[in-house]
Amino acid sequence: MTVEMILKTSGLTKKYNNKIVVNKINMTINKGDIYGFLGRNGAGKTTVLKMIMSQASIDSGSIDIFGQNLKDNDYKYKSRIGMLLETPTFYPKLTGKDNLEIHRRCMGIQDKKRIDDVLALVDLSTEGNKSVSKYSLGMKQRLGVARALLNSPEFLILDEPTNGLDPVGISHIREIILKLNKERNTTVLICSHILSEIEHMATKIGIIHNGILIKEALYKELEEKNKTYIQIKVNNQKKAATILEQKCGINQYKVYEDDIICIFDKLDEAENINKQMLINGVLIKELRVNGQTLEDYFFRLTGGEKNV
Amino acid sequence: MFDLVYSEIFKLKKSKTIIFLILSSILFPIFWCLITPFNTQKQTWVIYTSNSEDIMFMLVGIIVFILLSSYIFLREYSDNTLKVLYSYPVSKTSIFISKVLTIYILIALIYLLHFIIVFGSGLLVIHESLTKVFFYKHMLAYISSMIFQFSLVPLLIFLINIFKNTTASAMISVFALFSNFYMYEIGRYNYWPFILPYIPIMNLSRAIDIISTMNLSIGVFITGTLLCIFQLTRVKDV
Repeated sequence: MTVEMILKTSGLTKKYNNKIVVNKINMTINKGDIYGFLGRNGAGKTTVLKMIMSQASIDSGSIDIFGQNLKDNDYKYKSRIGMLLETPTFYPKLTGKDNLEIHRRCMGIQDKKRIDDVLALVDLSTEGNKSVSKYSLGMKQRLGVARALLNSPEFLILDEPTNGLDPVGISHIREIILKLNKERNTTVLICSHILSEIEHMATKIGIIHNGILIKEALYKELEEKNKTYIQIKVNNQKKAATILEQKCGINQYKVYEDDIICIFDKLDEAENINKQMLINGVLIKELRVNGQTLEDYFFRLTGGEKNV
Repeated sequence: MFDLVYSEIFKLKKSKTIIFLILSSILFPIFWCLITPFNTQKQTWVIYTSNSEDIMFMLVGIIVFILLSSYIFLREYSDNTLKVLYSYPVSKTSIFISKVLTIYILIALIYLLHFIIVFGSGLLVIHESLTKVFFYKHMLAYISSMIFQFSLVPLLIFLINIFKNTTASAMISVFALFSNFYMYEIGRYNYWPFILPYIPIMNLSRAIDIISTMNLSIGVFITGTLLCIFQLTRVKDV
């Protein structure tokens, strides 16, 4: 089965005043992916989005979107994209509904009922006739999500979608994204500087740092790579491996140099492992639970600190 | 294009600025209508209409139309909605044209309102009969003035978009106002683009070489359009 590619960038580069802000980025997003685009503030995420939306020129490299190479004057592909900017902006004197009506007309959406549908989806039905200037930041963010969903996009681009939202709002937006992805196979690109915001949704993760895409991998791969494990140091590695398999029923382990074994299964049975080793005459010199969370991994890659 | 123009007009809903600009343009005819009954001198249609038209098309009009164009274009910057505007599946040229057409519609509306108020109020306060010839001559002058005003719009937009600042637009309008007055005083109005919309009104009371005015108008339109195209093609990053 061939996988339909939604977005592919090749050597995408952007300079501002001779400073490289996006440096030879190669990213691939396939249909149905929820791509978490992670990076600290100023890493170059928004510039990449702008280039995808033809709002910033490409200095070198190329973008293929919906299977077509993006040219300077292309714009029709935008009708298949829904976009939420970091801080969604609206015509403040107009109501939420009026703002969506402008968007509906400019996007060429025929169905007028979509406005009520998307307002209901983001719980803004009762606030739709209020002037946007009276909206709170969270309400504006939800209206921004509604606007991005108005054209039932095939490809949804969300830049920091949970900015200004309370925990309930964050959870609600997450549910909407997952639902769209599951029911309509909508491809989603979510930019964030907070890993926890996307780690429960993303199927693929790209980490950008100082304009360079330093890691792109499936979320499962990263999770696998970073999962917690028990590390034991024994006096007889061969015998210990047999005990693990036969006495403890553990098959997911790896044997390393210096008599070290890393166990990835039955992590809550450390006590039993220790007991079985002792009974069968293997001495455990060292036992510890190791592992880094994805967040640790992200901060290690980007050279930051956890509280950034 | 219809949806884009509709959206541009829709954006003006509840806009105090637009209401203020439209009201300013019809303020003088209303003012003349109110004071005419108290004027002891005999009022004729010629005096009555020229009082309003001179002020509107030589002085007030240029300020109103520069500020109007400025509002239509610059509010996308002040409301920070430019990125949203460029996320639509339409070309930058279509967006630009829709804004220009919106300005044209508003200009036409202001001309129409001004004409109705001048002649409608004149019927109430001027006791002299209104001749068909006089009425049609003025109607034609308004239409010519409006077309000249249209020809000036691209140049105004180019100037507005250089600075992208409402204060700068206000300064351009003040400059245009005083330069109109100066060019009129020294009799060089045939060479000055900002005074173009006033020339057909002037032509009602004195003979003016309208061919050279038309040439100027065409030249201003082509120059303004080319400058706007140049400006538009230079916009790479939003």
